[in-house]
Amino acid sequence: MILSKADLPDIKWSMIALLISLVVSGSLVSISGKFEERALKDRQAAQKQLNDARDQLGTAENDQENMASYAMEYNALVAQKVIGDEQRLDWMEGLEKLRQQGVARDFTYTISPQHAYAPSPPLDAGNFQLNRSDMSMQIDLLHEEQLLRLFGGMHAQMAGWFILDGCTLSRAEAANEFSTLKAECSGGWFTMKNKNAP
Amino acid sequence: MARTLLFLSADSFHATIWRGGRLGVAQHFSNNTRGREQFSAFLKEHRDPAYLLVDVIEEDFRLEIVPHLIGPSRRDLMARKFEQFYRGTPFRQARLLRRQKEGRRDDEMLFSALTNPARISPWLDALHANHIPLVGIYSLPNISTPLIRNIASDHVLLLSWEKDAGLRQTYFKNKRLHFSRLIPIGEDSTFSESVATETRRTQQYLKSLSLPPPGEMLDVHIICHNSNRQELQDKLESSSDLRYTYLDIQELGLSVESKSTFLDSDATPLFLHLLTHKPPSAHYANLDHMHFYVLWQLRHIFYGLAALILAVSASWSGIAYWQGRAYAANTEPLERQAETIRERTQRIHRSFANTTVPAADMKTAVLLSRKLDRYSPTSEDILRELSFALDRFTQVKVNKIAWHVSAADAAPSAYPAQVITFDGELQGFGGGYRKALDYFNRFQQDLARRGYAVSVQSLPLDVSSKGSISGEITNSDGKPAQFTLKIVWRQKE
Repeated sequence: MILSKADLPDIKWSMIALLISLVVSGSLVSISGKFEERALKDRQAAQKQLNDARDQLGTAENDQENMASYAMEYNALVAQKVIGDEQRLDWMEGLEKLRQQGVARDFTYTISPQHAYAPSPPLDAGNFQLNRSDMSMQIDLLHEEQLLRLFGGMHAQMAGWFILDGCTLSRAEAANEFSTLKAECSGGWFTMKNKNAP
Repeated sequence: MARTLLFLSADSFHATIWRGGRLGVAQHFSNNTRGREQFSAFLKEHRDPAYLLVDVIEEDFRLEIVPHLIGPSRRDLMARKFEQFYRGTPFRQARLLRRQKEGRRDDEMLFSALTNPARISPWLDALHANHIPLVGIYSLPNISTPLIRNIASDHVLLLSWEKDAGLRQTYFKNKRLHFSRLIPIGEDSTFSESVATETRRTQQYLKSLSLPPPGEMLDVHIICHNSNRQELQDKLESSSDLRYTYLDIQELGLSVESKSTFLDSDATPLFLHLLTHKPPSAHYANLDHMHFYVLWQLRHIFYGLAALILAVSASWSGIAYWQGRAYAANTEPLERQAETIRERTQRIHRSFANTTVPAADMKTAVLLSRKLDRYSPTSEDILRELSFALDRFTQVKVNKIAWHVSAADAAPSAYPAQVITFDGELQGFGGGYRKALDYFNRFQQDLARRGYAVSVQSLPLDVSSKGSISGEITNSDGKPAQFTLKIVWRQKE
């Protein structure tokens, strides 16, 4: 038996019913599925928020315990002028003072313009902009100990934080009674500034 | 669901509505233009599936043994047989009685047909014109088999009386229909008289066919009402090869779930019930006759599918909605809990002493400075152990020493390493190459023990197979034995 167009009136309402049921069913499934999906996402988001809140609380409680030491160290960094704008005059004065103290036989230095600093490996700087002003030094020494004293003095007596990248220590080509060693060192003055600070 | 049951005999055609096991009042239609118009009007009011039961003399039965075939070959064979036996009628069928157990194992077939299509066609035309779904065209012998299924006999002659047709005698061998005949009952005769005379005649005819074989009993079962039973018993007497049994029409009706009350021995209502109860799959209608029934089935399949799809999707949606509600119910407590914890966190933050710098920034700056402090160790830290080693190995003279920070050499430490390039020379060994190299090796081992990673950039004397001996130990010419070491210093965790 072959169905023809003439048979359509006999089955059209059942076909329409089938189509309607397909459309209605599809809509029902789609709407309820989306509702369930959204509710699940909301619950997952709420669970994540709860986990985050717990983490933050734990961190805050930890911070509360450590805040006294954080504040002390932070104030020390401020006092050392590591936090805030760089103070080149302080560095120049400090280096001149060390020269006068005769920590090394003699030395010269060159400070380059300040640039953004990215530690390697990277560190989380949070809300701070990290900067560095590179400095190269040529130092005449009577003996190796003077080099250590010079950097010790820069660390102990000067306002600022000098990060030493490296040194080359060699015998002076024309050694004399005043200078037997020559050092060439490079590094940079490190500062960090809060991005919200004026 | 209601059904329209149509009964066609030689002189009569009537329609009855069957609903819930009960038959309605039969409406008779005469076989003329007016009768057919009335039938059309009736069909306009009753559009349920229709069953046509035919009880006419013009039904032929033919037993044939045919080869056992399947598929298209069998279909072609049946078509040839139909053309051979019943060319002039579309109302024909073939039923497999049994397959022989020996020889070629051929099929024993019963071919039958309604040989006077003109008797049926007018009513079929009316059904077709009104788009009535015709389930099938059945003959009374064809649907009788269920009535004798529980009778423990291999040779049964079933007798029934249809008021509008006559006395129907149907012979079953091994519960399979073999032959049937209809005897009209005239006005001058009664049901019991006809049974008495016609049964003997039929028995004679069967004997001529050796049915049943000699020595076996022919069981005659008569469908009758209780009111006729005594009269029949009085007229009929069993013999050595013939045995009469009386089947109560009311009990038979109950067995086919009929709720009708049978008032006399007319078996027409019983067979109509039987038709709705268990219609046989084989009948005389072909697909053209059943066209609107196929459409009706298709329509119901579509409606069924629609209902099923709706039910499944509604169930699925219900479950998804219920699950979604459960998720939503779980979400609110989580959000409340998170909010409570956030408030606690804020209270702690507010309790921090520093008022100008946020506590988070203060912490970031401090942790950063702590880590960065380890990025740039003091020169003293880097060189201390090297200095101690040089104090021990006094024959090593430093020519040049350089160090620089190196992130590439940091691993496995988390902080950058310091790479020291050590240019030196060995003094005071003269031509003692072996002694000088041994001293140099011990110097390296000492550095390694002190935590440095040492690799040789250039040896004072290359004694490997790949090298070329240059003899740089201070020799008689006073030339120094120079070497270069790469020494890596790493932060301890």
